[in-house]
Amino acid sequence: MADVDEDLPQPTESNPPDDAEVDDEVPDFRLLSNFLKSNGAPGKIPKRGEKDFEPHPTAQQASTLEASRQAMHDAVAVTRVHVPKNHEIAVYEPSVNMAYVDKPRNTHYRTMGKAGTLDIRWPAIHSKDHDDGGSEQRLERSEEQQDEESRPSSDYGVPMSLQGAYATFIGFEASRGGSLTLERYTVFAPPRAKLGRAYWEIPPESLPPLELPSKHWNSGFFSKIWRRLSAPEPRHPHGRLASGPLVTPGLYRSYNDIYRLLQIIPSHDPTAPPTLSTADVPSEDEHPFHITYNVWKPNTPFKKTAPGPPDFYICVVSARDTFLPTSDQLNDLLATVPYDPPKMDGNLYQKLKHGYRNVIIAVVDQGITSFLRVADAGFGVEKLYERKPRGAGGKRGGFRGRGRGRGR
Amino acid sequence: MAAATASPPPSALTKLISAHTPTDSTHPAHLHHLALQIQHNLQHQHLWTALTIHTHSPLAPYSPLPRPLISGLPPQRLYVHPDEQVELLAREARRRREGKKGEGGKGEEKVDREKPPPEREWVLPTHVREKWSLRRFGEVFEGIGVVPPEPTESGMDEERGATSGRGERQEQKADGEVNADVDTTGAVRPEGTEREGEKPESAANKWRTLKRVVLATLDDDSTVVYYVVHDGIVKPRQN
Amino acid sequence: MTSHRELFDPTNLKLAIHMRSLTETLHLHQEDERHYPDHPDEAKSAVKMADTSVSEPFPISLIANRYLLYDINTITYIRRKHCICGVLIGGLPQAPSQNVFCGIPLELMPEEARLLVEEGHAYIVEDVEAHMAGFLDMSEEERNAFMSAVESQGRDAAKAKKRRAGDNKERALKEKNLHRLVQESQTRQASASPDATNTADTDESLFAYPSPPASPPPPRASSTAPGEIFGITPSTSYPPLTMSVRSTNQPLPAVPRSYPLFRHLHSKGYFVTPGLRFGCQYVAYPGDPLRFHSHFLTVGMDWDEKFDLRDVVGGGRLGTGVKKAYLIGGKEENSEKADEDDDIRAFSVEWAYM
Repeated sequence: MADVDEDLPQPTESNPPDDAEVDDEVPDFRLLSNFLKSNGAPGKIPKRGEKDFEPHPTAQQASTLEASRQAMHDAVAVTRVHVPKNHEIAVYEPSVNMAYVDKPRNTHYRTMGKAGTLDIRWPAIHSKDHDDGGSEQRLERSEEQQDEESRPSSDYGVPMSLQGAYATFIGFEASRGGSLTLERYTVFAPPRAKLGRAYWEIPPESLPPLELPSKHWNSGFFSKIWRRLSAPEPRHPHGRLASGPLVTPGLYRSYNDIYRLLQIIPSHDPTAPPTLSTADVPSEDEHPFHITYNVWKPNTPFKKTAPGPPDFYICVVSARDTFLPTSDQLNDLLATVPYDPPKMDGNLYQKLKHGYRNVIIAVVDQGITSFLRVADAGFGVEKLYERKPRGAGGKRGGFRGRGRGRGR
Repeated sequence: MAAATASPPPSALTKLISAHTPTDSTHPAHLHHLALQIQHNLQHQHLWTALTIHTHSPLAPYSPLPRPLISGLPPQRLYVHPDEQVELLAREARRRREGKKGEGGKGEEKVDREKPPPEREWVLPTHVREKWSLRRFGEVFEGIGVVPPEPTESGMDEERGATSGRGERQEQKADGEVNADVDTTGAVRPEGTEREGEKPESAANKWRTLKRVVLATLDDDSTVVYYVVHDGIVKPRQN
Repeated sequence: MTSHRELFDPTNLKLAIHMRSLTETLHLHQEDERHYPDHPDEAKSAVKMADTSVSEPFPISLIANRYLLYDINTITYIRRKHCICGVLIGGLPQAPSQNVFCGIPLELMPEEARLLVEEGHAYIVEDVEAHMAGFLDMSEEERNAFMSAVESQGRDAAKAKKRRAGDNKERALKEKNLHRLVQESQTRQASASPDATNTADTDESLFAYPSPPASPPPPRASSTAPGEIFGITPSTSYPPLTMSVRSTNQPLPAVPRSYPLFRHLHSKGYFVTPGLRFGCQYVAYPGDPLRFHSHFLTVGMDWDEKFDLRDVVGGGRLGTGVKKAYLIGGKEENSEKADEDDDIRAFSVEWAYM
């Protein structure tokens, strides 16, 4: 075959497809129990398991599967317990659909970074108290009880199960028009848990993105420009475009001058202040793309009062309820995050990849999250003709950069 | 100056298309152009042989196909079912072991990978900007058998087919014979030959039980990509 | 893989820190070890496990338009018996600082919930309603009865913990060792390039492990006082809620147009999971995804639904890159096949390697 398609990923022995990496959302739980049994000793690495292509009627395959299933069962069956030393009890308050803690013992409410546990209780009231004034009474009552020194935990209501917590804080929340969806929680929980000490914040005004949150602007310079200009500077083609020639006869001392004259296609300028495409306040349904979480990396010194600019802006959407964003939606989403230009002395491809603004879109498909980074790449900003050829030795590849393959 | 405005001479492909597009076909001309361009690509870029363009189903009642299809023979086997692959590898391993015993290890490197013989394939010419539906794929499969019919003697000669026989074909075509298949040589096959081709060749390959077509998709820059489409749930190859 | 030496490989540093935080957390929670397969007896005795058999029909919780399961026995049961996996979306209490292994609840696709309901294995429960009614209007007697059950569970959990205390001391020792190793590696890491661990191009790098915090956490006591009662947060609300409350008027879960193909694949023994991460609707596995690679990236549609041919080419290409076939299919209209489940027709697409 004369023309082998070079672009198609061709699985070969030397370059097998990275199945283990991409294949699976389903890890082998046998590895978890080994890992825990080792109590974190090095070597027991919880990586994806080896898998087979298809079932065969072999006893070995069946027993391996059985072991995996049993390990999964055992791991997931563990009940949540609270040791007395760290037993933190919170009481659920239906009127606000929240839980409150009388006397915080742990500090994780302040940081939300430390892993901790909470024993949430249903309010311990009799059904006869459950009338209109009920919630206030309960609040008063619990305030009184705060002063009691040693209150036995049985004085609280019965424990709220995990199931109860999902029913109230996500299910009941939805019926009250609240904003915590299962998708948003699904995105929040695992990486937060994994990071251990990451900091997450729900932006104060997550909807609509019409008012640019001024604190997100890292310098007053851009906000001034933003106010001054209502639209990005139009790049009007010159008169020569109508009648030609594009390159008027004359003396040119640099190819760059000619290239500039040949540049006839207007392009987006990501360094200009953003404009919003939507005029009206859109509803959540019409405008599902807005920032859900501001996220700070755990290693940044973090103060709740002065958090500094977030490291990531995450927009959570549900795969089944949301279509691919239109360019208007992407534009408006990117307009709500601060200007974050690439390092100007960087490699061309790194600059394109980094872009001038960026957002992470977390798409949740029935519990499985895919993170996509969307950047406002400045293709029109990078003038290929202005690039310097690489130094000595680069006979042919001067304009190629480090990209793979054909450099197109 | 005048020379600059004159059109360049037509390319081989343009000549082929203009010479072989029927004017009275059941199919619109652009589908014939598509088939001819794919056929040209198969012949010259991928070295297929025995290429034939089919306008009508080789199966009774020989009704018109949804669009002209191509059948042809690739230079080497295009598709090996994963189960057949397992069998081939097992046979190879056996031969290697036997070869080791027989020649005292001398010939072990020499044992060739067993190459399954090439098989005739159906090719479905398409353009990447088309919209399709499941129904349309279903209709394509309705019109074909598992294995394309054997080409006629004249069909084997694809060299001639690309350049001659135009007038002859058009004459024949004017008869409006429903069950006629036109190959690129312009020869019209007698019905009997068609039935001959229908004879289940699949006996030669017990793994070939489902219909399949090679989906040839043309892009505006003349790139053609080829994908195998099976009529059913077929597990993927592992090579 | 198993040597201590490897720990100091820069690429493993993230893991080392990860493991430390995991051990810390384990310690912090003074987790008992019921999940270790080599202590099955404790597993049974620590907290009374529900009978592992599941009686049908079982409840599926519906909250905010999502279908969830909280009972581990049901989760295991439907996997074995009905080839339905769902997706575990919760955390694991014994290993909270990682996101490779997840725990309860299990989210079911509406397709999965619908199939289970249609075939009579399950029914849908409006969880908000059930909880507000069941817990806010609980009688004092009910409350006391349930509390004493929870307390006895908590007492058992504390006892089990105590039994394992000896082992824990040993573990604590090991852990100390690990702390030292990690701290050594930290000092080495300080001299290395700070971006060394930040080059991977996956979502791993997005939430890459950070450089470690400056001070190690204070040590915690690992012994348990006698007569202690652990607090318990049960996974499910049954009991005190009873499963007898069956709402018969729940409509069948609403499913997308791809449901017929989903059902067809399931009936052929395939395990079908959500497919967005492969750019498709479903990923179909020939057996339990715990043990097998998937075969198909699947898109289901109506028989006359129009699609771009470019999508077929793209899907075939995407699938071939990961050794899978792209499968499109749907319910064939005007088909002469009588059997309802038999009129699904699907086409498999693979790159032709030419």
